[in-house]
Amino acid sequence: MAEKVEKTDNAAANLAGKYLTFKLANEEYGLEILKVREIIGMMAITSLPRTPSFVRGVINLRGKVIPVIDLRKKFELAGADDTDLTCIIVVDVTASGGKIQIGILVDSVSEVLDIHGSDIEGAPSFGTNIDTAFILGMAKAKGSVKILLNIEKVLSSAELESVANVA
Amino acid sequence: MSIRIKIILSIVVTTLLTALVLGLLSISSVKSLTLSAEQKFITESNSTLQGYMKDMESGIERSTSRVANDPDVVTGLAEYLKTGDRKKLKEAVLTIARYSEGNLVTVTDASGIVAMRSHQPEKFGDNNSGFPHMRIALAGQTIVAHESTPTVPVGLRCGVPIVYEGKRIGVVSGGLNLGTEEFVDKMKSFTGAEVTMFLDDTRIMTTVKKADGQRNIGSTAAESIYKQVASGKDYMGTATVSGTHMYTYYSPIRDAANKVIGMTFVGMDITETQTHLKNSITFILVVMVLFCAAAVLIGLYIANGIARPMKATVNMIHEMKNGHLNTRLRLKLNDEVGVMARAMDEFADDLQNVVVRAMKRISVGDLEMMIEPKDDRDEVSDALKNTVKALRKLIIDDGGRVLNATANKDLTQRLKRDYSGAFDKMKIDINTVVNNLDEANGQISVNARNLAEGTSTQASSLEEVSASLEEMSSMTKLNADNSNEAKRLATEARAAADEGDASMKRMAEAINHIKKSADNTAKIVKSINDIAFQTNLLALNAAVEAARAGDAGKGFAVVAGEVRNLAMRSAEAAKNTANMIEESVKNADDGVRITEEVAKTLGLIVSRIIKVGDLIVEIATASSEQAQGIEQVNSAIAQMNNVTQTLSRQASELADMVSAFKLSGGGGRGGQMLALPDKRRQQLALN
Repeated sequence: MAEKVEKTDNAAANLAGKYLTFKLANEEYGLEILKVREIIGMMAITSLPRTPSFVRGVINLRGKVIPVIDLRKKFELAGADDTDLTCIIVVDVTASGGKIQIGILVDSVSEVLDIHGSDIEGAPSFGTNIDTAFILGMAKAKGSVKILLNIEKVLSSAELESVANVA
Repeated sequence: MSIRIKIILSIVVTTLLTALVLGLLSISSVKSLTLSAEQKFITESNSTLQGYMKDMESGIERSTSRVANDPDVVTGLAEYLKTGDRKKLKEAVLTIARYSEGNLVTVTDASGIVAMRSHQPEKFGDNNSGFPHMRIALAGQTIVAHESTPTVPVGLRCGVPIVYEGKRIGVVSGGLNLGTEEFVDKMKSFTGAEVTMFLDDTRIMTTVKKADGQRNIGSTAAESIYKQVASGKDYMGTATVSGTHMYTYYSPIRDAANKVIGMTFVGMDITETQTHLKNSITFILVVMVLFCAAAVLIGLYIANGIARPMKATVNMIHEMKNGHLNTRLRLKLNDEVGVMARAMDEFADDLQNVVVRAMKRISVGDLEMMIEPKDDRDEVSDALKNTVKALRKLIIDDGGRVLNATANKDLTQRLKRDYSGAFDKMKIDINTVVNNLDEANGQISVNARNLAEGTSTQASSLEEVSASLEEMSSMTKLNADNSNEAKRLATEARAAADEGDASMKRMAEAINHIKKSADNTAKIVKSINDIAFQTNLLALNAAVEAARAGDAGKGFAVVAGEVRNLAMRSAEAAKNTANMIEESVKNADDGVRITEEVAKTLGLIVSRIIKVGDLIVEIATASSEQAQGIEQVNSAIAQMNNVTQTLSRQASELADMVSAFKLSGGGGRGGQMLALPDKRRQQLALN
């Protein structure tokens, strides 16, 4: 147990850095800033047939076609309508073919936070709605807890493959 | 059956019977006279004929005998018989035939063989023995009889035996033709009747000529007549011969064997006599009818002479029954009918002059007449007398007295005498009337006094009513004025309410404008919000790039942070503005709601005002009606006032009148003047 804690502490120290925080279903999440390519507001999403349900569709970003994933659906959370604050965060992920860009649909984007290692805790084994593999850790900031997502782990390789094919 | 018819009938029947009997008797006697004359004539004719024929029989017997006894003839025959030489015989026969009647002589021998004929000298040798007279003569007997031969259908034959030297050697047969024109014509001239010789029933010769002038030869006689004559009986009677009506006598012609071989006929033309007879009968009948007609007329005359006066009398009695007394009969007859008529006239006179005149005088009120009965059985005059007496009692003595007194205002008199029937009823009624008048007058004086008092009370009441009405009238006027004022105020309030309504509308418009402005502002705020959002994103992107840039991007990161702050401030401002707009819109909505409430309230006020206005109009109308009513009541009161005054006046007049009567209950003439309240009398006098 102590080992794990230690390990976790170390891991936590590694996790310090700037995170882009966003809201999804009343929960605050954080993404490593280096993984973030761009943030754009809601735009027209072209839906595709025979795609998994969490794939909302594709968007045309300055000539580039980027698939958009509905994170609520991916995390199997309750669905919600898009609002004016709904944004698409374009992230870089590594797939079999190399780096690809995918967009994730979030309820709203908050700010870029500089998170110290001391504020980060390891992912608990219970108490959250999502599979903890996705979670890098938990960060305490500004009185609330933000879930740091491991975006690479959000999609499985198979899913990633199919998503890449779509792109 | 009326008397007229009875009389007429008796006369007519008598005459009729008499005429009938006499007529029939005359007719029958005329007929029988005619008949007997005819019979006499015809019998005589027949006798003459028969006699002549008998003479002729004698004649022919004589002549034939002469021939038979003529010596020349006898010797001639004897010679002929001996020698067959006829010369002598012939000469003898011809000589004698010239001088005998009939010219028909035949000489035969003893067996009947003809030796000589006077009419056919050269015809001889035939047998004549067949003839009946020949047979008898050949037997030695002289015979004369009627006989018929083909050549001489109706003839007389005579047969005389010729005796020579005591021996019969032959017969002389003579004949006479009866069926000749000369014969019948001669017979007709002798008898004056038509003559006919019949063979059986056939006419051989007759004087009767047919229509064409020829003699009626060859026809037959009537079967019944021939039958009778053939049986041996004469027939005397009427017969129609050749169309002529005749009185006839048929007699049989018998031959030697007494057999009827024909008939003789004598007849007289009775058409003329028949015509005469018919005429006589007609004449008699006509006379009979005339008698009857005369009888009817006489009957009518006599009957009328009785029936008409009787009818007139009955008529007059009917008229008198119906009261028409002017009819009189004035029949100038001297028989019982006349006597009756005069008695009726006298009765009518008596009824009209005595009885009816008396009744007429009573009817015009003249009760002074004296009526004397004709005797102690005269019921009519007696009744009249009693009528006058009763009427005088009632009208003059008793009733008259009472009514006279009553007319002079003395109500103390009553009828006292005894009456019966309707008169008694009248007595009771008159007494009752006077009694009632008596009582009534007494009652009236009391009532008049009460009435006078009552009317004065009424007059004062009316004054009070009048005063109250005045008050009411003034109050009504006040009412009317007030309602007018109210109406005016209501109209003003209505105008104000309408104005308020208009202002309300304007306010609503203004609020709408506010809302519109707020909407516009909201739009702007939204765009500011969008800008802030985008700026935020921009800032974040910038931070991301800055982080990527590492150290070189630190300054950039700061700038990004500042831009973000700016964006957040904008967002904040926009939010605040949005809040303010929201509030203002909410206030505007409130304003609108309040406006609507106010409008509703104003509307309510207007409707209330309208209602008030209507009510006021009603009040005004009612007030005016009230005023009218009060006017009417006023006039009614005035009228009642007049009436009361009149009543009062009349009451006092009545009282004066009643006091003039003399009543059986007391109160003489002019007594008990009515005591009216003085004040009232003055008022009456003033009014």
